[in-house]
Amino acid sequence: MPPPPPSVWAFLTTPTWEHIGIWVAALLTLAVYSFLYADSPVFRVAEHLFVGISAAYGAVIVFHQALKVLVIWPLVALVREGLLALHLHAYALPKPAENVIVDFRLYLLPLPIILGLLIFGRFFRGYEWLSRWPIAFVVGFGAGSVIPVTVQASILEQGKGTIDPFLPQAGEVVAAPDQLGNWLLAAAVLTTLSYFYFSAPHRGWLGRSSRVGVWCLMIAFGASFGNTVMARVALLIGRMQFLLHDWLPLWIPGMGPPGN
Amino acid sequence: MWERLLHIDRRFIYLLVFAVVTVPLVAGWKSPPGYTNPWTQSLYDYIDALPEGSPVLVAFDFDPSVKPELQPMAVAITRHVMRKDLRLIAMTFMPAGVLLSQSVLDQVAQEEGKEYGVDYVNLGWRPGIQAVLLGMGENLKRVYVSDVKGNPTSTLPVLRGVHDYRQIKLIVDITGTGLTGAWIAFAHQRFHAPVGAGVTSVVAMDLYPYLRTQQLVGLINGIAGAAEYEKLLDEPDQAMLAMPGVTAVHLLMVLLVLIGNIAYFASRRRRAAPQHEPPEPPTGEEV
Repeated sequence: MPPPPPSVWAFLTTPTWEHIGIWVAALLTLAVYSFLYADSPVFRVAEHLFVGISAAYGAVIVFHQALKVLVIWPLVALVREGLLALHLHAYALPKPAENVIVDFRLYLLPLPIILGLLIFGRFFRGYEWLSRWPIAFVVGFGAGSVIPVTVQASILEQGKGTIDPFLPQAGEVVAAPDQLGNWLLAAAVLTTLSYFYFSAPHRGWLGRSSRVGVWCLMIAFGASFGNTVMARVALLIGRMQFLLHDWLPLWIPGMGPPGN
Repeated sequence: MWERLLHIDRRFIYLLVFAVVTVPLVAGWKSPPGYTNPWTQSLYDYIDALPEGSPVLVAFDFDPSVKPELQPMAVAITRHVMRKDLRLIAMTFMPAGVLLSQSVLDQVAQEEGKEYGVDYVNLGWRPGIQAVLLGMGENLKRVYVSDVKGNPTSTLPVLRGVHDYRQIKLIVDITGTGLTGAWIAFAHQRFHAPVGAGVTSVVAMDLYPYLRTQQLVGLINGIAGAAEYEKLLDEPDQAMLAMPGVTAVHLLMVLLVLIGNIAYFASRRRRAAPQHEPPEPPTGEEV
């Protein structure tokens, strides 16, 4: 049995950090929803707070989970390795740096660091061009790694998936509803593709086919819109659950999540 | 009357939606879905059939903006994995997902009596989606040298024997973004790892084609899918609590669309109908 929520007086006299957090979150939620009535400074404050806090939170995570782990500690380990190689006095590694794997990859570490620093060239007049190098590297790596697997996963496999049902294995029996579904799917794919074929005027059979394709697209958009409505309602319900089950019990005794 | 309905203040609709959502929540109604989507069932069955101790990677690729929709399914999947005594490896590609994943893991691990580092681990966030996905195909412990708490991954019992995708028996991506496509393209297509997904309803439509081709082993679609999963687990929780509100709002929307259309056509007919005698047609004598 969870402990009963504190009364308003108890909250005012001995507030806990958890309760303060709930109050701040609840007031900000109400501030954001105030936009439904009209735009106001209250909404603007909540909006700017959201953007600012998100950026700050992201920066902290990037520092702790990326910069420290991928740059700072490996660099500390690399410098120590260098000192050892030169038979100079080397310092003891701090505990997090002990996790760093020392092999030939560690010696390549300066390359990505320098490449990363080049992006700051944008801030120096006359040296803006330096930032193009890391961008070119990222774009090149992204395109090179993504294009082959995407073509395989989203074009070839999907094409195969559309054709495969019409080539059943020996002895395989396809149920009539599935067969109908396969034909409908193949027809929808072809007619929709015909809508996006612009090398010939959409007249005659191509015109009729593309019109059916438009209908297929509309059905897909309708289903997508229905799903979007469900998603947005779920978000509203999530906030309402928070307000009704977490915040309200703090100031209305007896209110609480069902089952309490 | 129809004209007035067409020009009703939109805030009146908001009030209606507010009322329809609030009543089931205050009453505490929980409704198990009457129908289970075969793709939800398929993901549940896949996890259920894994042998004890199998490593399962769960990617908590979501942030607070979609938390109400995805957290219930994240809790349900984590609960299922832990209950089946599988080894859970958590990670995220969203910086804001680090604390969300940790809160889900802490909550369920406490319920199920699981120990951090032995039964589950949170690898946290790393930048560079493609680099991480490709790197995990070669050596997971090189990409994640340490976990979110700074422990070296090479010493964690939960990761013993886990070198790359080949040892991971299932990857479940929980996301409100297009990241599932990246998991399919890299982890499944390139390294043949089985991938399942739990996504927001907005994203689900894009993923149905991958189910047909078995590039995805199963899919949980939004809050309704999460409620289905809770039903399969026989553990009614947040998603089932949300379902009466979702149903009620959908019914309200259908009703409003119907009323809106009837009002539109009725008012158009009214405008089209002659209000008074039409003027005599010109005879041409004036010219």
